[in-house]
Amino acid sequence: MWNDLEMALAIPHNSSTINRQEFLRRGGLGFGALAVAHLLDTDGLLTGGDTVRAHKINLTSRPAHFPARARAVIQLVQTGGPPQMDLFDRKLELQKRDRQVFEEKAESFQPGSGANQLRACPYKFRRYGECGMELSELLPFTGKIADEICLVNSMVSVHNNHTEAIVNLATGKMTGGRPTLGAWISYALGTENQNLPAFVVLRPSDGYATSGRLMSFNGWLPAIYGGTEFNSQGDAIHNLKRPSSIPVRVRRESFELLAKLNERHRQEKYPFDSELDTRIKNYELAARMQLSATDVLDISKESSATHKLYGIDNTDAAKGAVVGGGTSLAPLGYATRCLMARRLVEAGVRFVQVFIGKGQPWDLHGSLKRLPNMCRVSDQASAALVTDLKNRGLLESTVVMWGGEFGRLPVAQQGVETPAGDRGGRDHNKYAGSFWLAGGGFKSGLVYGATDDVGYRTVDKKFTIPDLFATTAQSMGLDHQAVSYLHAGRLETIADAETTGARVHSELFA
Amino acid sequence: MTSTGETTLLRIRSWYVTLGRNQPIRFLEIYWFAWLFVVAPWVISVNSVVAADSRINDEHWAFVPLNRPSQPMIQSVDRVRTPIDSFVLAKLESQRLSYSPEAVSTTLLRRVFYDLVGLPPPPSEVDTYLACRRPDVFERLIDRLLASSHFGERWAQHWFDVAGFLPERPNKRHYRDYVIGAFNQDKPYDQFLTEQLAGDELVDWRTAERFTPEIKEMLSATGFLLCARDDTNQAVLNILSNRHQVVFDTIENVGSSLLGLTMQCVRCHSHKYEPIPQQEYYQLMALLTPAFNVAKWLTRDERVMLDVSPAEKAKFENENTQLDQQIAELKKQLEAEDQEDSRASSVKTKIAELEGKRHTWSNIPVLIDTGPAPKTHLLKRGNYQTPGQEVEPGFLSILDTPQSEGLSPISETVPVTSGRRRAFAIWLNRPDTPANGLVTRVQVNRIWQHLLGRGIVTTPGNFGRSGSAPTHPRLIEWLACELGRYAQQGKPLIRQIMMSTVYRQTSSVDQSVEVPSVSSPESSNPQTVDPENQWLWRMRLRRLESEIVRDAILATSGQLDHSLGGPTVSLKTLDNGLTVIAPEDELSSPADRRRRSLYLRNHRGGNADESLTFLTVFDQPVVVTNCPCRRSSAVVLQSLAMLNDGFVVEQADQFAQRLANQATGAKQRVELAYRLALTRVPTPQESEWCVEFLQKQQMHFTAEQPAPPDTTTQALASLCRVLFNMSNFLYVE
Repeated sequence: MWNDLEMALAIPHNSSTINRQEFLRRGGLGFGALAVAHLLDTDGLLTGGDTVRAHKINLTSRPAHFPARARAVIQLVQTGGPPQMDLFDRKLELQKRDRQVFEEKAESFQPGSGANQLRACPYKFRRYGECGMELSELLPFTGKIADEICLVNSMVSVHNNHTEAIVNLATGKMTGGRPTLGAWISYALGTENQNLPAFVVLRPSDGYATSGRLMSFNGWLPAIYGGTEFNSQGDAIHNLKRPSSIPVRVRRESFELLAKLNERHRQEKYPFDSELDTRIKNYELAARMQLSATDVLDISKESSATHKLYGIDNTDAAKGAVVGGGTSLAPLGYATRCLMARRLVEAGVRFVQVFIGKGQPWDLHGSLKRLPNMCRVSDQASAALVTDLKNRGLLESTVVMWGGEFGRLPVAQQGVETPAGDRGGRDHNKYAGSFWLAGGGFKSGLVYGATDDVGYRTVDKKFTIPDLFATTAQSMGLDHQAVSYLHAGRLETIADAETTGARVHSELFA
Repeated sequence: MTSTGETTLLRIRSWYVTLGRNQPIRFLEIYWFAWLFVVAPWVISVNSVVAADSRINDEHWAFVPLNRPSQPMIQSVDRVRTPIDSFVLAKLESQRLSYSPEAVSTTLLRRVFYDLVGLPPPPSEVDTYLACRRPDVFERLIDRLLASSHFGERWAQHWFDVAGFLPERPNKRHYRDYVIGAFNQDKPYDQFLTEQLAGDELVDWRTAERFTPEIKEMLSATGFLLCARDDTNQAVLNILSNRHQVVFDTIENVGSSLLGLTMQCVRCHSHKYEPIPQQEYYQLMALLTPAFNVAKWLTRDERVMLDVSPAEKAKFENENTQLDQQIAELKKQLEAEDQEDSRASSVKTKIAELEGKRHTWSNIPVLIDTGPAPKTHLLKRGNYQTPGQEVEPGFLSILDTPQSEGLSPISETVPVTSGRRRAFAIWLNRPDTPANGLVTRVQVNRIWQHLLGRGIVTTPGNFGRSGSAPTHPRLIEWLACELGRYAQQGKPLIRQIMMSTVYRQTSSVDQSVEVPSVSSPESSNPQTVDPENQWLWRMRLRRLESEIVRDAILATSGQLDHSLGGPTVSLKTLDNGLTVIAPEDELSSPADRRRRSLYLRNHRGGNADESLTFLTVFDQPVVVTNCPCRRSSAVVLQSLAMLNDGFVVEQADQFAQRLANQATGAKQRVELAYRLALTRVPTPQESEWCVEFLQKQQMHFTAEQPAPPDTTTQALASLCRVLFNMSNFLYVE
């Protein structure tokens, strides 16, 4: 697959297979030089907790604080708030007390829950795997990986509105503007493949999840640590392809002239300017990225067995799950993104963020009738990713996290969309929710934390989003309190433990 | 001089000032000081002991009233064009550095154009400029550009960043156009702030028979306080927590934009770094609660007012009815006529004329007090569910003076409004107070930042103790006093900065020539002493901001629509995720595609698929609250956009067409291309390379199957794409 950019730059290539070593070998120049190597007086890096030192803003791979369990993260973002008591957290008491008035006034977000009437889970639970993990019958594929996952039933959020809770999920705090977990990890560890960004975002092509770009924002960290969006449909990267109106030879010679003119300008006037140097090298990088990114995201290279594993051809799954308003699930999208995520991690990308859909698809207010469809979209592809990573020996070195911004209430909610005769859905709940983790040295088959009898409040081993950040950092070999950045006179850390009280849940590690 | 000595000097000076001698220190007085230092050295030691434990030591430089500094003594007096130079040179000389040579005329011209109007200079302007032999040619150029209406567009964009303003909805154009107008009129900064905080309390619109342009302007100005994210127009989000968040975000915007203070943490607890108690956050909040009453909330869609008075509206409706009747009659008449008849065409003209006379009105987003002032409580831990003690409206004690009149000077002319926001504006702007000192320093720092690439304080939204210290403390003080001397008008200050030698230096680093220093023969190598160029031994190289990159491409191709104001241009997200300008049938006019970037729709952080991808790639900020300081990156997606984006390819074609039409011969076309894109002529070698390139490109196009129709223009378009990708194009040198 010779293309014009490579021809112009005579870059050797081998596009038949892509693996990490191959990428590393091809590297040599790239994002490492992407830095604009200047720092403002008050913004700077402290890492390792030792002394202040000038930080070269780049993405070269750097050592962790201590031996790492994992070297990459895949975050499967389930916006909307999956109902924990219908999927992960079986509540026998809730089943018994169906339709009874809940003795505590459940804190609702929208109208419709005023009756405060408990609503039993309408689906059955089953025991899965050797560990006997109890999961909903709606999650047969997740059931198959029960022995690989660590289920946390004690997630708590800070707010029961999506916008705030999603920003909390992304940054560990509900007020916008902080760096996201992916940005922190890229900042702390750089990345292994200099031909691809450190932090890749796979979002639906028809739009963003609620809170949009804030989900992959660099905050006040330098911009190169922010997420780079790759598209799961159409072009993987915007403007990666040469327009068809520009012939190959024309482009090649244009590159030659451009390189001559830019290099001359730099040498004569700005010999020490790293930004101009980076800009010149970016044209070479663009060529390599065209090859790397096109290849790595080309899922047609995968076997039909793999396509089947992820359910990529299963067009029915998304149909019933499509909802109106600002929320949608483009058919096929999520499974494709999960497979792309595996390929990216395999190629040496540090942090991959995969969105379930546009807006907040798990938001099941007035009815649970969409729940089976939502599960069909998420269940198979998410589980396939774990299985696939395991089969390739990549699971141990990759943290896979699955979850949304909060859980849902044990009481029924009636809304405008409630069909006649429907018991209704569930409103937001910031006090409890479920999340699962896999790989990265986490104990498999473990169920961690507990909620009260009906699943309204977390009662044991409360697990906050800042805790998730601290624990993930631990898995990556990082002391979350030592990865720090001086911002506006304050030493900021990954989870801001000083104010959030974040802690590492070391019980989760095997 | 030691810092203790300097402190002493400054304090003696302030003592002078308190005696009513608000004059620069004169020559004879130097003897007096000398005597003081020689004869009474103990004064210093006593002073330093006093300073160690007195409140003076606690005084943060930004929290005191302005104090006009004297000009420092320097050696390179030949490089001083304005007093600003002596402040900058004093710092440079202390590092044994000096200024770089002046930039060549064309570079300077390009710099001035981008800084004042955000567009490249047209070649005709360059010719006139270079041909002019008047000694004040540079000054006249600055004056002419300061008077251009594009100045308002350029500097409004800077203010939008500070205010956190985004043209999210069509009716946001009122505030946008107000700001553009304010910069073009050079509204004094104190007036500009007052109008934005309390425009509705400055004019009596409630009983006005007719909404004058002034009334409309004052009402539009309050759009400043409507910049925070507000989703409460969605019924499910119109809840107490979100209403509070709107008020919190507004306070944060006001804090960082006007006062250079971070207010976010004071909401929950007293500030850890600044002397601001939590209670005072809620005092400030009480200034806003008569307008932002969380109990009687108005959604953003309800915070609008017609731009005509009720009386006018009634009158207009009446007139419209009459016009409609006349039009209806004429139309009936027209039906009876032969369509081709000349009479028919005159009737049509008449109809069009009458339709033009119909009155229209629209909504202006406004912030006004919505009723009696509600009680405001301190919120424990910033949580609205745990209210604490009641708090009266007030200001920040650290910036207050005993003479402050507090909330007393409330307007009597408009009795139905609390006047709290107006009182706040008055408090901010009273001369010789700490508050006004801070407000002015924050503003002049921004002006400096926009012209020199970096603020004297590099944290423009944080002037507190946790912010960075000024690199040139006396210069910022001087600039702030100058703004006062210019009656708070920004244009004369901008002019003074641009007239200074510091602004006119070259940005390039000449390796072959040692930077000359008159004073010190053993001058240091600036690249070693100050590689970051914080002391300004050369001009900073600055990349064009995202909006200006796009505007520059349009101006170079000759396609830019220069019209001022108007509707916001809609965007559309394509199937491949790229957000581009909406198709022509969704625009108010086809020319909208070629409008300046500040007229394009943009969206707050949230669902950002409503921001133009080309701009986001070039670091258009993700605005959460506001953006006091932009960052510029050099990521590969920018190179890809400049190579392959449909917009760039289309504009390169237009640029090529322009070259083909306006010049003949390859050499002449290359020269014109350079003059249009880079404001200079190519060097002989560049010219040779480009001419050769054109020939080869044309051969390639001719060899294509099928060959495109006009291979000459195709080859030119290739050259134009190369020019757009040159660092020389993307950077202001």
